[in-house]
Amino acid sequence: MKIVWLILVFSFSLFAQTDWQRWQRTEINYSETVNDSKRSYSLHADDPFEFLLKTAAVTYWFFISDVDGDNCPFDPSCSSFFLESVKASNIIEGTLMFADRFTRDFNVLNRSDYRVTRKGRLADPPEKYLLTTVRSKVK
Amino acid sequence: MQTIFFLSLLSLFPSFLFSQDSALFTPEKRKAFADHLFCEKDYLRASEEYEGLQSVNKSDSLSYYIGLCFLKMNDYEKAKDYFSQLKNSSLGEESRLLFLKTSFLLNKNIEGESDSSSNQFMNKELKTSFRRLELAAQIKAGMDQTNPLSLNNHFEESDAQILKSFADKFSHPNSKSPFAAALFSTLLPGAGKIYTKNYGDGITSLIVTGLFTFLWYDNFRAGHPTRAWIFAGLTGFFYWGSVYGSYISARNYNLEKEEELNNEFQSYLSSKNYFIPTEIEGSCK
Repeated sequence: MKIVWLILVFSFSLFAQTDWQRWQRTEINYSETVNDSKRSYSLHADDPFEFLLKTAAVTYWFFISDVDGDNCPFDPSCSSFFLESVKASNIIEGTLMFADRFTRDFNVLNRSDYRVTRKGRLADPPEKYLLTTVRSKVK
Repeated sequence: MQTIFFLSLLSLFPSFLFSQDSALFTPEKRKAFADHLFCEKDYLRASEEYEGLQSVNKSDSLSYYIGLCFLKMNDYEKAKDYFSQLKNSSLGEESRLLFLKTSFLLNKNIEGESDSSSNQFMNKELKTSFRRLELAAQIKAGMDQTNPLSLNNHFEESDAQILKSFADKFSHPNSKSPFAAALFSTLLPGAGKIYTKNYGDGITSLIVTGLFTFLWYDNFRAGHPTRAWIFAGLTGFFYWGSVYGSYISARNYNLEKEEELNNEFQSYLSSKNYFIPTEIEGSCK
């Protein structure tokens, strides 16, 4: 009984407002965080052509890219960029986008032109280079 | 046991003594609290308090302040809804002006709105503000009818000069032709990117395509046709990539310039409070 009463009494103090953490304006960080994309090793595809492309890409990732190490400075990596470009447009436009990306990859002096992802990669989504691009994606 | 029970009761009663008085929640006090939050720029909580009051006692003034809160929080769609409801109320003139401001901030075509409303202002100052904002919208839309005389009549000389310069930039944007960029890169790989001031990528493109072209030519000359065809393919790959990349580079250049100009104009208008008298956006002592 004593314990019950003591708990009851102290519960008031436990839920009382604390004065050492005053309400105040939060410092807001306005910098935009860009999340890194993840490679999908799944071979699931909507059509046979996409399946072939994915198989080639996954084989490349498994036997070459992953073994070689984390070298591509961009996000998504060049191979993922190619897959996403073809999926977002068509094989011709996707290939041209990939060729353009590959050329930009050679230029080591243009790194400041890109936003940086959480893991320090250069954000370079394919949407930015589509002929029918969404205005908000061009940053 | 009795002592503990007595002490417990003694510790409980002060809590009740200092408990909140229900008189704190009278509409007058709640309105004063909401006004205080508004003046403290705590617009989210101020809007919640005003909305709470609105559910008990509906008034135009409360709707106006809720609209202002949403306007200050950049929730223009909601602000516009509140101001549009008040067009024919006692706060109609102020609401119409703020309605135009929210439409402007939402990049909506305000032509239709302004034509029907511009003659409904009794207050000369608000009518001037309305006309100024209307002209600013015309400048942003790149309309040719924003003639210099009209700007001189409605603005101070210094503002008119700045607005003329903006009008010129909007109607004659310094854009790059994507087709010209693609054509330049067709003639010389990377030239299109250099044209769009993307110098590094342009020069890289020229070097890469040039290198593979040389390897293609050199292997043919040396009698290695297989290698030569591989390099020919790579040359084509980078050449057409450069043409495509130049087109996109010019398109992206134009979008970036357009966004920069919009931001610059928005920043200028914001510094002038969109030519709207600050008094109508809630007065705080």
